[in-house]
Amino acid sequence: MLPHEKEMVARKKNQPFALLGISSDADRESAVERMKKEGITWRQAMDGSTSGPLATKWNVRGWPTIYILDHKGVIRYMDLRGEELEKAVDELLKEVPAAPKN
Amino acid sequence: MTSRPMRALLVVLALVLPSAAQDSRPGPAERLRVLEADFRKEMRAFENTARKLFAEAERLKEEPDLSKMPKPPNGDFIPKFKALAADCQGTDTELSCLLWLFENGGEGFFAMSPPNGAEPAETPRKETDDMIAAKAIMERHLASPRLDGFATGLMFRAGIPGTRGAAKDYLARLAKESPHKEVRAAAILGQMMPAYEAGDEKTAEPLIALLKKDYADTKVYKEQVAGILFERENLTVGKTAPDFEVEDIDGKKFKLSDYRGKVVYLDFWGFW
Repeated sequence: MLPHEKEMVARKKNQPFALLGISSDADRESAVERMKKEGITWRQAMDGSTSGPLATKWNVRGWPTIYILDHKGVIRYMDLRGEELEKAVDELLKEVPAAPKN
Repeated sequence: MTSRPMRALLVVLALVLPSAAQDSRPGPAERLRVLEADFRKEMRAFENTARKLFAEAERLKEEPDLSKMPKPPNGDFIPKFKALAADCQGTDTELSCLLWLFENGGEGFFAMSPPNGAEPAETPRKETDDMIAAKAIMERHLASPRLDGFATGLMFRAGIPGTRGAAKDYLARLAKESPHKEVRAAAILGQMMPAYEAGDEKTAEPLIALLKKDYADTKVYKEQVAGILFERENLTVGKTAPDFEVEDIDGKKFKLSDYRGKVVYLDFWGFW
């Protein structure tokens, strides 16, 4: 998962795309250390454990659980992986209105 | 049948009577304590060895050599817990032994979800120690308040061919007959989940309604059922993702809605 995520983030650097990680690792210190070591540049929040508040509220029972949202915040895809996932993101990027030029 | 206080009295008498004093063997409760501590110790050693093996493989960028994996200690402890359970039938110590056997005496994770995604055979396998313990729990400890975790364990087994029949049967009995609300809630959840996950709304719907109506104040409901309902109502394709605010690893707060205008890949994950 991680290598593909890194590639995707690099490829879409200049596009309206954001990867947000909600980590369910219980050991915050070692997880943050590994994130730095692995070169994870995208935004990460720690949920505390597999039964952290957000994972509980969103009923996450398998990891990774991935939601793909469009630019309006609507859930468009769940549980896609790899190439299929990236293709879906590319389609959604086409829906994003072009930023107004000043 | 001996009532619980009566049994406790007999245990006390056995401990103080002179004839018992000649028997220097420790009582069941003490034996259980030692057994559990020994198991935890060996489990830690096992986990450490396994962790080292995986870390070394990762360092060498190789697949871990699973033939070098030590044997998990469960196997050696199963006969010990069984022997202790047999020595104190009907007591709370027996229940502790049976719950341990239920948790540690099965075929474990891989039997539940085979790595290749193949369905295991529907025909019951040789009865495993976890299900033998489950049967004894149902026979002798149905009224115990300590069975909510047991119900959750049955829920997983209700989704697996081979253990499905017995697990479903036990859950149905617990849901009806347990005098404890938390246990009943866990058992109803255990009946509902496999149906819900299989998309069998006809079975799942009345159980969800029952949980909502009578069990909304239980821990089981708050920690497990509420999430399922939230997911059903808010987290399906086409719905606007519910907003949340969290703090990133640098201590800066952000909201999901801060990312409007961007395609968002929201990833619940972990290194473990």
